[in-house]
Amino acid sequence: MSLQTDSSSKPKKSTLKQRADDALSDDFLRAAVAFTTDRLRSRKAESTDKLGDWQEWRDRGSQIRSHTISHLDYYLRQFAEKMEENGGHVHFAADAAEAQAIVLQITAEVNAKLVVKSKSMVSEEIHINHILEDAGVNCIETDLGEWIIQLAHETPSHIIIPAIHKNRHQIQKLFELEGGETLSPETKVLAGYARRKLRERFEQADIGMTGCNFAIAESGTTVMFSNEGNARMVTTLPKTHIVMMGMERIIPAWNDLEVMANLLPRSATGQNMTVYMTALSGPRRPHELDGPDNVHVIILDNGRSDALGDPEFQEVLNCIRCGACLNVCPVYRQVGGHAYGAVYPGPIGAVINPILQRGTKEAGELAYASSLCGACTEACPVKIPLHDMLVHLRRRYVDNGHAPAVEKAAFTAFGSICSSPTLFSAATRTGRWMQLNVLGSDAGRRSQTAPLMKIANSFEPLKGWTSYRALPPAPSKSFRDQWSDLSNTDSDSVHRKHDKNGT
Amino acid sequence: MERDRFLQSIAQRLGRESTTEVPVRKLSGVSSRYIDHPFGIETISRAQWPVYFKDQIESIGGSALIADSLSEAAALISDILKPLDGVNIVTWSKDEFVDWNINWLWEEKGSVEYVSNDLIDSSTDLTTIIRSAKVGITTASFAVVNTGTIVLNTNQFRNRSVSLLPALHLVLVRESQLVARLGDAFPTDHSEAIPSSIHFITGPSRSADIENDLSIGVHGPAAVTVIICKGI
Repeated sequence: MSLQTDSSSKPKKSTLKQRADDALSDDFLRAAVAFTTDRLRSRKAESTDKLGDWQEWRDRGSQIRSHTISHLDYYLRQFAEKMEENGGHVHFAADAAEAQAIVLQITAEVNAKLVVKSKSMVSEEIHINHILEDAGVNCIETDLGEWIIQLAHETPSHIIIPAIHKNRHQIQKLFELEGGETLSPETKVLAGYARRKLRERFEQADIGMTGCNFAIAESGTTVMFSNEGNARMVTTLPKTHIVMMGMERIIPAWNDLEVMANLLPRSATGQNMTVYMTALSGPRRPHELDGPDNVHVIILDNGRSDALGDPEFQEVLNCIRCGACLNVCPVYRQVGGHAYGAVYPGPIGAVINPILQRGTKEAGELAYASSLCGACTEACPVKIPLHDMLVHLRRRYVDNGHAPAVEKAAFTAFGSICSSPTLFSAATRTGRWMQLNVLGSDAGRRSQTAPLMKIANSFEPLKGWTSYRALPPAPSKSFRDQWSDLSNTDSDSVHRKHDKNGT
Repeated sequence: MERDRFLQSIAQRLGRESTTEVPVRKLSGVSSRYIDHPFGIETISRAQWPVYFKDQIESIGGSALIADSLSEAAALISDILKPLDGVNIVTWSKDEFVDWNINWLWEEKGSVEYVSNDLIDSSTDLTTIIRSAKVGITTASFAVVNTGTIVLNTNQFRNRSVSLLPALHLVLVRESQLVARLGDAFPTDHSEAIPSSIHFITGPSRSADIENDLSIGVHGPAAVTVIICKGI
């Protein structure tokens, strides 16, 4: 079982372009992503309008997050000390390997056979499910959407609604396969099955694992926002609770939580509040009947500190993981989350994955999966300038020598042509000839009739352009040629003409 | 990684030494404007709070009933439980309900109070509640009016499971426990030990994970009913 899980659910080795092509040919996925993002976006607008002063809320959110990040060491220390006073254990992990080792040590200590999880992006980041399965520990996702994709051996396609790419019939099949029962595709039946089956697991589990939306420094409290109640289940029934926490999740005080509680649910789903906001401060106290005996908080760096002190990227640590940038992104909207090929999809993923993956070529490429329209920046409840960061990333990608050879050659050629007037004017004439003969002449539409079209369509880099797009034909006279005519016209007569028209 | 080294490296990236000096803050928490106007453009007087709360919780699939007196509240509780005759009911400690005058809940209805008692084998008890309890009855510490949220602080008399495992969660709230906004329900005195868990609950459990189709009661209660008793 573990082998199967391992090989099939890790991100496939494929290029961004292949993944985007796959997504673009999946009609159900495209319709589902468009529907979901539209819905989340319009609900967000509705709930923020009703609250009023949304820009001021964003300002406060941004200032609180920026202040926290610029004093991160202070607040992390305070949080850790308070959490220990509350009776919890706090671990610091520099990278995924350290975090995995800490989890394995805890599972060994309590001799765990079964771990029940509620949604945690950080746990996806360190691939903890595979690590636990390899160690012979069964690990079950209990968020309905996460459970569905776990049964399908897939990865989330949206941070908030992870299984938007699955339809009810696929879900029915997955559940039937899991439980050997015959079900119907009604939502009620499927959700009822999940409730019944997962209830048993909550009861049997040795460890509950959750993420953490915010950690309050002044009281040593971890806070989770959820809708289904599984986060409450996994922190009520199992004897041990492990919190996976990205090191930037901290906020200084409870009164800051009120700001975040107004920003996060509205930005994520358009709810005024999620059904559950659960604030946990260490293990159960003496004579309390339920809740864990042991609480372990694992605070993870995993590349995040690379963004600290970097004027272009520090603000990315302000992120509160609401997914609002996904819902407005014209690229995400077309291809969904899998095309990004990494843990975090969408604009925030394009910025954060290169940090977590230490500037690898694959992750850097994601900065190009954007039209730089700035909708993400506009949507961000803590005002992270995402599209500026995408431009910085593209610059770094080129600086690191990752740009393709053809692109480099093209820009070198462009540079020398543009610095010589003779070459430039020759090039514009050649360009017109090329366009007519190679790309076709019918303005604005793709033509497959141009004499050399077939040739263009079979060669990179031309193919990337000609397969999908067409330009209006270049005018017979270039602007430079027109300019010399215009300069010869009597400027007085031009002015007079204008006056006449104006009166 | 060892804590000091971890924190030291963060400080280094930020271009300074790690410090234990309290950072100076220009701003924290919500704006004074929001504190003065927790209902946005609407002005809602205290007298309107119970109804506003009811509207909020009903807009997200929960329900609320407003009683003018404790005896009316008791009658409402009885009405709610009547069609559920014979199902297992669990509650917080009886002491939490003292002045609600509902002793019949345990004496006649056979409700089980689920509290710490060294004589009771708590693990057996927990299993019962997981498997068979259909109704859980609790009080609350606060109810937040502008979001329709109830706030439960847990301790040895108020556990986590009663508000979580049964399909119906019935919550008894006094009018004096209503607060305008979330921040009014947050713990303020950090010199005292904070409750091990604080639950902010806004309506019944929900999920839209199957084709964006709303399903209620996926893991937590499918029904949340709040009884607000006025005048107390």
